Amino acid sequence: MNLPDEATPAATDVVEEIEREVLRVHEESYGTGARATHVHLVGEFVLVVLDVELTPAERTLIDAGRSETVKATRESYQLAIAPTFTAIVERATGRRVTGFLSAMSLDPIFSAEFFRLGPAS
Amino acid sequence: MGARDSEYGGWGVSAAPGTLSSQISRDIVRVHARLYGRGPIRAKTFLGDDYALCLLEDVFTRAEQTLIAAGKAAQVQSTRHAFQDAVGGEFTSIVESVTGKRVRAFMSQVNIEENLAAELFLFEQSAESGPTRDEE
Repeated sequence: MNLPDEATPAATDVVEEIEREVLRVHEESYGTGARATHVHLVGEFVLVVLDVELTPAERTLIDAGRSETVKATRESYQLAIAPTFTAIVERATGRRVTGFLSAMSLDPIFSAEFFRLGPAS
Repeated sequence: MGARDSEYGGWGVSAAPGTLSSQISRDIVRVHARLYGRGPIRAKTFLGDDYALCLLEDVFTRAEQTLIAAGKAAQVQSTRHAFQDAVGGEFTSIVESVTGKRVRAFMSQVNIEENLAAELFLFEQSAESGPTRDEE
Protein backbone atom coordinates (compact mmCIF):
# COMPACT_ATOMS: atom_id res chain seq x y z
CA MET A 1 0.00 0.00 0.00
CA ASN A 2 1.30 3.42 -0.90
CA LEU A 3 0.99 6.53 1.19
CA PRO A 4 -1.98 8.72 0.36
CA ASP A 5 -1.49 11.33 -2.30
CA GLU A 6 0.17 14.52 -1.03
CA ALA A 7 -3.04 16.49 -1.60
CA THR A 8 -5.18 14.40 0.73
CA PRO A 9 -5.79 15.61 4.30
CA ALA A 10 -4.07 12.56 5.80
CA ALA A 11 -0.97 13.12 3.71
CA THR A 12 -0.98 16.79 4.63
CA ASP A 13 -0.86 15.81 8.28
CA VAL A 14 2.08 13.48 7.61
CA VAL A 15 3.96 16.15 5.68
CA GLU A 16 3.36 18.79 8.34
CA GLU A 17 4.47 16.49 11.14
CA ILE A 18 7.68 15.53 9.35
CA GLU A 19 8.44 19.17 8.45
CA ARG A 20 7.85 20.34 11.99
CA GLU A 21 9.80 17.58 13.71
CA VAL A 22 12.76 17.52 11.33
CA LEU A 23 13.17 21.28 11.65
CA ARG A 24 12.89 21.11 15.43
CA VAL A 25 15.51 18.36 15.70
CA HIS A 26 17.79 20.16 13.28
CA GLU A 27 17.62 23.38 15.28
CA GLU A 28 18.23 21.57 18.55
CA SER A 29 21.08 19.39 17.36
CA TYR A 30 22.85 21.69 14.88
CA GLY A 31 22.19 25.05 16.43
CA THR A 32 20.87 26.62 13.23
CA GLY A 33 17.54 26.40 11.50
CA ALA A 34 16.45 26.28 7.90
CA ARG A 35 14.91 28.94 5.71
CA ALA A 36 12.44 26.37 4.41
CA THR A 37 11.62 22.69 4.74
CA HIS A 38 10.10 20.67 1.92
CA VAL A 39 8.66 17.20 2.41
CA HIS A 40 7.42 15.10 -0.48
CA LEU A 41 5.58 11.80 -0.24
CA VAL A 42 5.86 9.77 -3.41
CA GLY A 43 4.57 6.24 -3.17
CA GLU A 44 6.96 4.36 -0.90
CA PHE A 45 9.43 7.23 -0.77
CA VAL A 46 9.79 10.29 1.45
CA LEU A 47 12.04 13.16 0.40
CA VAL A 48 12.98 15.86 2.90
CA VAL A 49 14.78 18.94 1.59
CA LEU A 50 16.08 21.55 4.03
CA ASP A 51 17.16 24.96 2.81
CA VAL A 52 19.66 25.10 5.64
CA GLU A 53 21.29 28.16 7.09
CA LEU A 54 25.07 28.03 7.36
CA THR A 55 26.72 28.81 10.67
CA PRO A 56 29.25 31.66 10.89
CA ALA A 57 32.00 29.03 11.19
CA GLU A 58 30.85 27.38 7.97
CA ARG A 59 30.78 30.72 6.17
CA THR A 60 34.29 31.44 7.47
CA LEU A 61 35.52 28.10 6.12
CA ILE A 62 33.84 28.60 2.74
CA ASP A 63 35.34 32.08 2.47
CA ALA A 64 38.73 30.46 3.16
CA GLY A 65 38.22 27.98 0.33
CA ARG A 66 37.41 25.02 2.60
CA SER A 67 33.99 24.15 1.18
CA GLU A 68 34.77 20.45 1.15
CA THR A 69 35.33 20.53 4.90
CA VAL A 70 31.92 22.10 5.41
CA LYS A 71 30.30 19.53 3.14
CA ALA A 72 32.02 16.63 4.90
CA THR A 73 30.99 17.91 8.32
CA ARG A 74 27.41 18.42 7.24
CA GLU A 75 27.22 14.93 5.77
CA SER A 76 28.73 13.44 8.92
CA TYR A 77 26.08 15.26 10.90
CA GLN A 78 23.35 13.98 8.60
CA LEU A 79 24.52 10.41 9.13
CA ALA A 80 24.75 10.99 12.87
CA ILE A 81 21.21 12.30 13.04
CA ALA A 82 19.79 9.73 10.60
CA PRO A 83 18.32 7.45 13.31
CA THR A 84 16.44 10.40 14.78
CA PHE A 85 15.14 11.56 11.40
CA THR A 86 14.21 7.97 10.57
CA ALA A 87 12.21 7.70 13.77
CA ILE A 88 10.37 10.89 12.87
CA VAL A 89 9.43 9.53 9.44
CA GLU A 90 8.39 6.17 10.86
CA ARG A 91 6.22 7.78 13.51
CA ALA A 92 4.55 10.15 11.04
CA THR A 93 3.91 7.55 8.33
CA GLY A 94 3.33 4.53 10.53
CA ARG A 95 5.74 2.54 8.33
CA ARG A 96 9.23 1.20 8.72
CA VAL A 97 12.07 2.97 6.97
CA THR A 98 14.09 0.35 5.11
CA GLY A 99 16.58 2.64 3.39
CA PHE A 100 18.13 6.06 3.91
CA LEU A 101 20.25 8.34 1.73
CA SER A 102 21.55 11.78 2.56
CA ALA A 103 23.43 14.49 0.72
CA MET A 104 24.48 18.11 1.12
CA SER A 105 24.80 20.71 -1.62
CA LEU A 106 26.67 23.97 -1.10
CA ASP A 107 25.74 25.60 -4.40
CA PRO A 108 22.89 26.13 -3.94
CA ILE A 109 22.79 25.42 -0.23
CA PHE A 110 20.42 22.66 0.79
CA SER A 111 20.42 19.21 2.32
CA ALA A 112 18.36 16.26 1.15
CA GLU A 113 17.26 13.19 3.09
CA PHE A 114 15.69 10.35 1.18
CA PHE A 115 13.77 7.59 2.95
CA ARG A 116 12.44 4.36 1.44
CA LEU A 117 9.52 2.86 3.31
CA GLY A 118 8.77 -0.77 3.88
CA PRO A 119 5.36 -2.24 3.16
CA ALA A 120 2.45 -1.01 5.21
CA SER A 121 1.39 -3.49 7.84
CA MET B 1 61.32 35.60 33.34
CA GLY B 2 59.07 32.58 33.55
CA ALA B 3 55.51 32.28 32.45
CA ARG B 4 52.80 34.32 34.05
CA ASP B 5 49.12 33.84 33.56
CA SER B 6 46.60 36.51 32.97
CA GLU B 7 46.66 37.49 36.61
CA TYR B 8 43.20 36.49 37.56
CA GLY B 9 42.51 33.70 39.91
CA GLY B 10 40.37 31.36 37.91
CA TRP B 11 38.81 30.69 34.57
CA GLY B 12 36.11 33.13 33.63
CA VAL B 13 36.98 35.53 36.41
CA SER B 14 37.23 39.00 34.96
CA ALA B 15 40.07 40.83 36.57
CA ALA B 16 43.23 42.67 35.85
CA PRO B 17 41.98 44.31 32.66
CA GLY B 18 44.73 45.85 30.66
CA THR B 19 47.34 43.19 31.23
CA LEU B 20 48.75 41.80 28.02
CA SER B 21 47.53 38.30 28.68
CA SER B 22 43.99 39.36 29.54
CA GLN B 23 43.91 41.49 26.42
CA ILE B 24 44.95 38.50 24.32
CA SER B 25 42.23 36.37 25.94
CA ARG B 26 39.60 39.01 25.34
CA ASP B 27 40.54 39.65 21.71
CA ILE B 28 40.79 35.97 20.80
CA VAL B 29 37.42 35.24 22.38
CA ARG B 30 35.93 38.15 20.43
CA VAL B 31 37.35 36.92 17.12
CA HIS B 32 36.34 33.37 17.92
CA ALA B 33 32.77 34.49 18.56
CA ARG B 34 32.64 36.52 15.37
CA LEU B 35 34.10 33.87 13.08
CA TYR B 36 32.70 30.77 14.74
CA GLY B 37 29.34 32.10 15.83
CA ARG B 38 29.95 31.16 19.40
CA GLY B 39 32.73 32.18 21.70
CA PRO B 40 34.27 29.97 24.34
CA ILE B 41 32.82 30.46 27.80
CA ARG B 42 36.19 30.98 29.43
CA ALA B 43 39.65 31.88 28.27
CA LYS B 44 42.99 32.15 29.95
CA THR B 45 46.31 33.18 28.47
CA PHE B 46 49.77 32.35 29.75
CA LEU B 47 52.47 34.63 28.48
CA GLY B 48 56.13 33.76 28.53
CA ASP B 49 59.16 35.42 27.01
CA ASP B 50 59.03 33.29 23.92
CA TYR B 51 55.50 32.01 23.83
CA ALA B 52 51.84 32.73 24.48
CA LEU B 53 49.41 29.94 25.31
CA CYS B 54 45.72 30.67 25.19
CA LEU B 55 43.41 28.06 26.70
CA LEU B 56 39.75 28.23 25.73
CA GLU B 57 37.10 26.28 27.60
CA ASP B 58 33.64 25.17 26.48
CA VAL B 59 34.34 25.72 22.81
CA PHE B 60 32.16 23.27 20.93
CA THR B 61 29.04 24.31 19.06
CA ARG B 62 25.75 22.43 19.24
CA ALA B 63 26.50 20.71 15.92
CA GLU B 64 29.92 19.63 17.15
CA GLN B 65 28.45 18.30 20.37
CA THR B 66 25.96 16.26 18.32
CA LEU B 67 28.78 14.87 16.19
CA ILE B 68 30.89 14.01 19.22
CA ALA B 69 27.97 12.25 20.88
CA ALA B 70 27.52 10.23 17.68
CA GLY B 71 31.14 9.10 17.73
CA LYS B 72 32.28 11.53 15.02
CA ALA B 73 34.97 13.26 17.05
CA ALA B 74 37.51 12.85 14.26
CA GLN B 75 35.29 14.91 11.98
CA VAL B 76 35.08 17.63 14.62
CA GLN B 77 38.86 17.71 15.00
CA SER B 78 39.35 17.83 11.25
CA THR B 79 36.93 20.73 10.90
CA ARG B 80 38.52 22.57 13.82
CA HIS B 81 41.95 22.22 12.25
CA ALA B 82 40.64 23.59 8.96
CA PHE B 83 39.06 26.47 10.85
CA GLN B 84 42.26 27.26 12.70
CA ASP B 85 44.21 27.15 9.44
CA ALA B 86 41.72 29.63 8.04
CA VAL B 87 41.79 32.06 10.97
CA GLY B 88 45.30 31.46 12.30
CA GLY B 89 46.54 34.63 10.65
CA GLU B 90 43.98 36.72 12.48
CA PHE B 91 44.82 35.12 15.83
CA THR B 92 48.52 35.64 15.17
CA SER B 93 47.90 39.30 14.36
CA ILE B 94 46.17 39.76 17.70
CA VAL B 95 49.07 38.32 19.65
CA GLU B 96 51.65 40.27 17.66
CA SER B 97 49.70 43.48 18.10
CA VAL B 98 49.30 43.04 21.86
CA THR B 99 52.83 41.85 22.63
CA GLY B 100 54.78 43.71 19.97
CA LYS B 101 56.58 40.46 19.17
CA ARG B 102 56.73 38.51 15.94
CA VAL B 103 55.07 35.09 15.97
CA ARG B 104 57.14 32.48 14.17
CA ALA B 105 54.79 29.54 14.70
CA PHE B 106 51.14 29.03 15.56
CA MET B 107 49.70 25.69 16.69
CA SER B 108 46.17 24.85 17.66
CA GLN B 109 44.62 21.79 19.24
CA VAL B 110 41.28 20.76 20.67
CA ASN B 111 40.60 18.22 23.39
CA ILE B 112 37.29 16.49 22.81
CA GLU B 113 36.90 14.96 26.25
CA GLU B 114 37.56 18.19 28.14
CA ASN B 115 35.88 20.57 25.66
CA LEU B 116 39.07 22.61 25.48
CA ALA B 117 41.06 24.36 22.81
CA ALA B 118 44.68 25.47 23.09
CA GLU B 119 46.25 28.09 20.87
CA LEU B 120 50.04 28.21 21.11
CA PHE B 121 52.09 31.04 19.66
CA LEU B 122 55.89 30.89 19.57
CA PHE B 123 57.73 34.18 19.30
CA GLU B 124 60.79 34.93 17.28
CA GLN B 125 63.81 35.50 19.48
CA SER B 126 64.86 39.11 19.49
CA ALA B 127 68.56 39.95 19.74
CA GLU B 128 68.31 41.19 23.32
CA SER B 129 66.15 38.39 24.68
CA GLY B 130 67.95 35.71 26.57
CA PRO B 131 66.79 32.34 27.81
CA THR B 132 63.70 32.19 29.98
CA ARG B 133 64.01 31.38 33.65
CA ASP B 134 62.62 27.92 32.95
CA GLU B 135 65.58 27.24 30.72
CA GLU B 136 68.22 28.52 33.07
